[in-house]
Parts: sequence; C-alpha cells; structure tokens
Amino acid sequence: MEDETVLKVNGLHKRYDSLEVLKGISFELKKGEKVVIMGRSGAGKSTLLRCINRLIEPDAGEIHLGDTRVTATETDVTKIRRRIGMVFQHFELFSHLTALDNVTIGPIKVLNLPKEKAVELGLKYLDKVGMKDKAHSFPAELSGGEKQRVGIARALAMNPDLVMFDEPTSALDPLLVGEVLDTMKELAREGLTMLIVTHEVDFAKEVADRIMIMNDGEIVDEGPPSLIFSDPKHEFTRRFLQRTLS
Amino acid sequence: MGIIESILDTLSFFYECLPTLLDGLQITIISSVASFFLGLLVGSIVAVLRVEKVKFLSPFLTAYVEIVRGTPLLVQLLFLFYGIPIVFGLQMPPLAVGIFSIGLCTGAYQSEIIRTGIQSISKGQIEASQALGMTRWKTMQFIILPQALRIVVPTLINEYITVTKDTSMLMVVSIPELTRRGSWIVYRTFKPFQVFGLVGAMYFALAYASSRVSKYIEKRYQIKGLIR
Repeated sequence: MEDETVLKVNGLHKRYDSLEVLKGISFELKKGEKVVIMGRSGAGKSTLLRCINRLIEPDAGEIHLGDTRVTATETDVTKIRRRIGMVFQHFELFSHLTALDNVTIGPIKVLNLPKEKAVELGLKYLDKVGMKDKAHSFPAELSGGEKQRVGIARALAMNPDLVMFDEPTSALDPLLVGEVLDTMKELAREGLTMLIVTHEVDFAKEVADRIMIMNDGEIVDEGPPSLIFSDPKHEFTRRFLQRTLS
Repeated sequence: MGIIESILDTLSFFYECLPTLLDGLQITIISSVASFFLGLLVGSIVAVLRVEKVKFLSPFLTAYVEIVRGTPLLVQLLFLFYGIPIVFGLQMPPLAVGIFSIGLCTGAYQSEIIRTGIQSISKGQIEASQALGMTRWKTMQFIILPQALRIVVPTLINEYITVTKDTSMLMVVSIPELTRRGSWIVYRTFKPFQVFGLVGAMYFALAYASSRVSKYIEKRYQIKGLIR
C-alpha cells in the first residue's frame, strides 16, 4: 500500500488568451510523499495547484485523485475539493468566524458532521498546530503566523488525501516563517501527503522527497533534493538556485 | 395672552391631536416596516442573482433597478395604485398597494446596497470556501452573506429611515397615515404650524430611534479586531 498513487496529473494545459500558463504538466504523487514545486513567480505554480482542485478549469489534460477522474465533466467538483486540502499564501481565513469555527465549518457544512464531533476534531487539529489557546480568537486578532497555522488546521480537519500549500510563508514576517515551517515539518514527519509551492530552500532540502522546478509552464527539472541542489541538470535550475540561495 | 398661557394652550391642543396622530403613526410604522422587509427580501434575492450572473434574468433585474432609480417614487406609487386595478382588474386594499409600491422601490435600492456588500468580500475567502468543498450556495450562505450583511447594516438602516419618511407619500392615495391625518386636523383647525411641527417631531423620533438601533446592532455584531 505504500506505493498507492494519490494524485496523477497527465499533460495538463492551461491558456489565458495568448498566454500559455501550463504547457503539459505531468507528475505523480504517492501516498505520504512530499513534493516541493519551486520556480520564479509567473512560472504557473499557483495555476497548477488551482487546476488540480479545479478552482481553475484546465483546458486539456487528465487529473486523477485516487480512482476518481477529477477532470471528467460529470465529476462533482465539491466532492473532489473536500479531499484536497489547500493552504493559501494570504491565509484566507473567514474573518467573521473564530479560529475554531474556521476549522469546523468544513466538517459541519460539507462533511455534515455533528457539531460536537466537529468541535472535538477542530480542537484536536488546533492543538496540533499549537493554536488551541486561541481557538476563540478571531482572525483579525491573530498574527500572520498564527493565521496560517489556523489555515493549516482548517485544511487538515477535512481529513484530506493530500494538502496543497501555495507559498504558505511568502506573506509572512521573516520572524514568523519559522513557526509555520515547523508545523509543516511536523506534518511531514507524520506522513501527510503534501504538494508544496515554496521558495524556502532549506525547508525543501529537509522535507521534500522530490523537487520539481517549474519555468514558463513546464517542469524543467525534477528529482530528489540531493540531486537537484548538488547537480542540477537544467541550466535554468542552476541559475534559479544560485539566485535563490544567495 | 401671556407666554405661559399660550404654551399651555398649545400643549392642550397637542393633546387633543394625539389620538388621531397616533393612529396615523401606527399606519406609518406598519407600512414602513412591512415595505422595508419586503424590500429586504426582494433586494437580497436581486443582489444574489445579479452577483451570481444568472444569464436569462440579468437584463430584467438591471431594468428593474434602473427604472426604479430613474423615476420618482410618487409616480411609481400613483402608477401602481391606478394601474393595478385597470390592468389586472384586481381590487387591492390601498395599504397593500402602498406597501407593495414602496417595497419594490426600496428593494431596488437595497439590492444595490447588498450587492456592494457582497462584492466587498475578498475573492480569496470565496476561493478558500470552495476549496473546502462548499457549493456556491453554501459559500453565499455561510461565508459571503454573514459578512456582507454586517457591513451593510448601517446603510440598510439609513434606507429604513428613508422608507419611513417616504411613507408620507401614501397620503396621496388616501391612506390615513401620519401626514394625511395631520392635514385633516389642519383643515379643521387652521393650525398648520403646530400640527406639522408635531408631525415632523414624530417622524424625527422614529428616525432617531432607528439610528440608535443601528448603532447598537453595529456594535453587537461587530467582528472582533476587524477594522474596515
């Protein structure tokens, strides 16, 4: 069962008018695998994540989540989305709800869990991200790092097959980046399947099973961190890493 | 006649007027509350349908809002009051027609107020809600509307105050609301200064109470820590 494929993306294309954002992306994600996507802004990383849960409709290509064909027109997207957690660059917590309500609204309204059960679950995940003390605070009362940890708990509470992270630390104060990365490392150790877009090189080195370098809508380089960082195949990767590391 | 006597005289005149005016005030309140909530219902539906861009409806909804905004309420009122019986052969109680007219009118304004509120909710939160697997309707119900309505409460209550004052136009279709009863008394007593002064004070009291309620609701439902 270790080799169970969670996500399979095949020949994914997306175009906005004359701009081709994704030019045939293919990759697989196995259960428990952590894949980091790097690349400069505009490379199509965010678009790729949003195509996977069809927040953006891809033009061509196939996506499978387990046995379900995500891209089939008859597929109920809401059923797909509840199985894919998503953590956003700008947190996107619901500002009228407390931290706890942010975490429980999905289980209650989407998974139809009874309220007490959802609260129990919500507190468990808030505890996991170290936010149980602030369960009753509103987003506007939290720091960026705290918001993002609630955002992570919100994604986890749906018990998803995988969690996608879209630059989860890019909008944070440098001082607050650590707490969010530590939370993510902890989740990685516990075997969560993760697809992470980030610019944090050290984090990628430590956590990733595989790194994919994207440029201009294509995956230009792919491999385990040791290989990518020590011996980048592609000229672009070399230049990209040089700039990011310095 | 001394000042004291004249004040006492006026007060006793006011006292005589009170029963008639209070009956009118009751109709004013009933018609303003009823048309406001009719407008809230219509306005919410129209706003949601316009934001969701329901294709086949949107030209009609736009026409509704534009026509209401572009014509005087008094004309709308007279048009419906005399039009409904002629076109539909329907005899409706005047008060019902009045509430219906003002309700439709304020509905158009309220739809624009609510639409602005809905559109002020960030795209990101909507995306986050969809990413959880919520349908568009659930997103509207649990994420967008609870925030949008909080934002527009002060503006909506302002609209309610406008509606209260607009019900004075119902006098032209012979509904015995506050202003009309005031003019009855004036015909009898020839004291327009005192009577309309009192009538005005009554409208003011209603408006002022509403704006206090608005402040209270704003405070009560304020999202902690959030500054807009």
